[in-house]
Amino acid sequence: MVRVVWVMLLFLSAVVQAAEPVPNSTAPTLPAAAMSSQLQDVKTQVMQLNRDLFLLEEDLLFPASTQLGIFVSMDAGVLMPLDAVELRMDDDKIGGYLYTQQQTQAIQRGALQRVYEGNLKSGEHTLMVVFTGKGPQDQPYRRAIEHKFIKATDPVWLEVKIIDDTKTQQPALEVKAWPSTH
Amino acid sequence: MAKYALSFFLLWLCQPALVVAESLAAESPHTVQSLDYGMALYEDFQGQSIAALTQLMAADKRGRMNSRDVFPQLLLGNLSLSLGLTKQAEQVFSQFKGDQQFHDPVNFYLGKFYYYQRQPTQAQALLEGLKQLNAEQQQERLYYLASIAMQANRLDLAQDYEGKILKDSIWKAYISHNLALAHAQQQNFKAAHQLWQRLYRQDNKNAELTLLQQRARLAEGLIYLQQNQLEDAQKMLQALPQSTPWLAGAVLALAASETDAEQAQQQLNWLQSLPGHDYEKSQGLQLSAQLAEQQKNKALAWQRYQSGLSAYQQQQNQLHEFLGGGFDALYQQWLTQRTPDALSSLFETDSMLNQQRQQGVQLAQLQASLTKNAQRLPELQEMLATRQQAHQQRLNVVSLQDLQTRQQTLKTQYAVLDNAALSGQQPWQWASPSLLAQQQKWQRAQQMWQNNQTQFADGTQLNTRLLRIKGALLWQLQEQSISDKLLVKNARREIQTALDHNQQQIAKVQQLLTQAPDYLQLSQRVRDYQQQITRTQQQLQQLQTQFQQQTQVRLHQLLQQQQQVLKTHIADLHYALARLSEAL
Repeated sequence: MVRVVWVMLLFLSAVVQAAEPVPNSTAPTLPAAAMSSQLQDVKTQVMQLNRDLFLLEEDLLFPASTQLGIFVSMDAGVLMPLDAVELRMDDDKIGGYLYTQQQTQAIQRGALQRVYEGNLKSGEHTLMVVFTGKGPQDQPYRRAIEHKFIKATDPVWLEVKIIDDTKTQQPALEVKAWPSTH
Repeated sequence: MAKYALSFFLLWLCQPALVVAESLAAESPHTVQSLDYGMALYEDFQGQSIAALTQLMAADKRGRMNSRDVFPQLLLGNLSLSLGLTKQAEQVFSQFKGDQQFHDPVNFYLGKFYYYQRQPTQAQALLEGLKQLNAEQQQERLYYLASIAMQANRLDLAQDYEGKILKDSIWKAYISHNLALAHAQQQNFKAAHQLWQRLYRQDNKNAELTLLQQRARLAEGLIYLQQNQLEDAQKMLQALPQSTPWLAGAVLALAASETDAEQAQQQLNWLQSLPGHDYEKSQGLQLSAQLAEQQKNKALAWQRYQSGLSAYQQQQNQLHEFLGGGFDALYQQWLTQRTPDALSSLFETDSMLNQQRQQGVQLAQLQASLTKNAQRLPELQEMLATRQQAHQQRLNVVSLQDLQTRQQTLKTQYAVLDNAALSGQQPWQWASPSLLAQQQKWQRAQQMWQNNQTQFADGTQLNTRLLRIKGALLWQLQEQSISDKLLVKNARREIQTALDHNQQQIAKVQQLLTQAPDYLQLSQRVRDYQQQITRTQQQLQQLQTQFQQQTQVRLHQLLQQQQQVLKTHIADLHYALARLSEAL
């Protein structure tokens, strides 16, 4: 009997260890002290390779002369919770996106979502962005913005901003064109 | 006995915790400072640290990130730290040392860096007195300071910091729990109880807090057990859901401490109803048999000893299997937290193994990201080849040199027309051959008349006729000239159109040539990456093998220890059965 309890208490000691915050269980943690520098070097190599491949893909798939990037950002996002977005270029649908709660929260917290990356011919174009979803009182909403721009040889990066207009209590949309050296 | 358990309380106070960059966004909640930074935040907020770091490293390499862009740089450092790239993190953070404009956020991250590097003195010096931080960062800062104070056994100071953390913050929950444990270790159960009560009252918003509250209740339950307050302990444990980790062990402890046999049996029945935890349940059967034996119910005791023996033997067989050859499978199960029930408590309570698992998972993530990239390369190579071919075909159709030669020819033709045809200086040059022949005849007649006009009887009449003919010739010439001018004008227009068209063609080809990527260079880059990835994959594989071997040594040790424990249990049960069999 005594042995049973001793073994069991040894096990239970783990329960009363000091706890450490792990706010996001999917994210990795710091290495143990015994982590070898060799491991760190390999990790660095892996990250550098990831970076280089990322750049290669950027160069290859979206050359600057034809590159078009469309991004979504928002401020508080209270008046227009982000559910879905549809993108049209010169009346042709070029993309769309359905948001998860986690993604919406990320954008609300100041992050920027690249909703589209592609190539576009030089000339004048019209972008139409349509947001749909359900508002605070479960009211369906639909808001759209049209933006005309000229594509020359520099890349075009357009940020579609969702702004809560506190005066009118209405969501507002705005398109910001980023300079090619952002 | 319980004191023995308590001696383990604070063994792992300084374990490294997760480094998160979440608070960075709050610096500028609704203003995107740069596209790369905004996109990196998007990845990071979804737990995609590798993708976020890749984005920022790419921006940095492309020169899109100024070294003085403090927040993107801090995020870069923070992400590097979270992935264990401490050298890179230190390099990033160090460049901001002494920065006055962003003094507080910079010191916060530097302090955090030293905290995780286990250099509490430096960390404390940097973290104290920081004011220009957002609310989230402030809570985190106070957590680090409280933890450092606890490590120095300054519980009063730690308590002060704890009091300053906002009541619904997760950081407060952690520090409250840790402080309560520290007080319990110093036998100050009242203070511990108060802290835990505060933790239970915290607004339960997420799973993480729920888990921590459960863990706290379990710990407090054990404290009651240690103080022999069995009723309180039972109340505390009964408030926990059945799936709470380690609950089975706690219930077993409660039953073992119970002096009332009936109560003890009820608790053991509760233990048997919990999911999983084979080992604790086997111990419960053993305890249950001992209770029956104490109550002189030998038949029941016999039956329970038999059940316990059978359960232990089953676990022993499982251990044999793992030790005999199923070790690789066990390693994978352990890595993905799918350890068999019989072994879960054995492995989960080993802090060294838990730390190693985090490393193992990280290595596996890196390996997966490399494999994914390696798979992309042939696809990119193929795409590159297709594009290069299409580009070459377009260039083959029209040669820039041909176009330029043609342009020169057209320009010459145009110039000839422009200079000669319409100049009007030699009107007869463009006369038709018949008109020219007539004009030459007229010239000869005129010459003849001028030379011999005295011989002509009626010279005046002849002269008049010659003048009329001249007039007629000039009129014809005039007519032809107008028509020629029209022809030339049309020809000029045609040449001009051809010139414009040709010029456009030249511009297109020139654009094609200047804007097309350097395919050869790109192909070379892809080939280089292929080699580098293969090399790195091999290195990573070697490291993983080493890591796996180290981990397996520990797993093996634990399994062998458990085998010994099971052997002892089995021997005890055999002895008990032999004893009972004599009596029966």
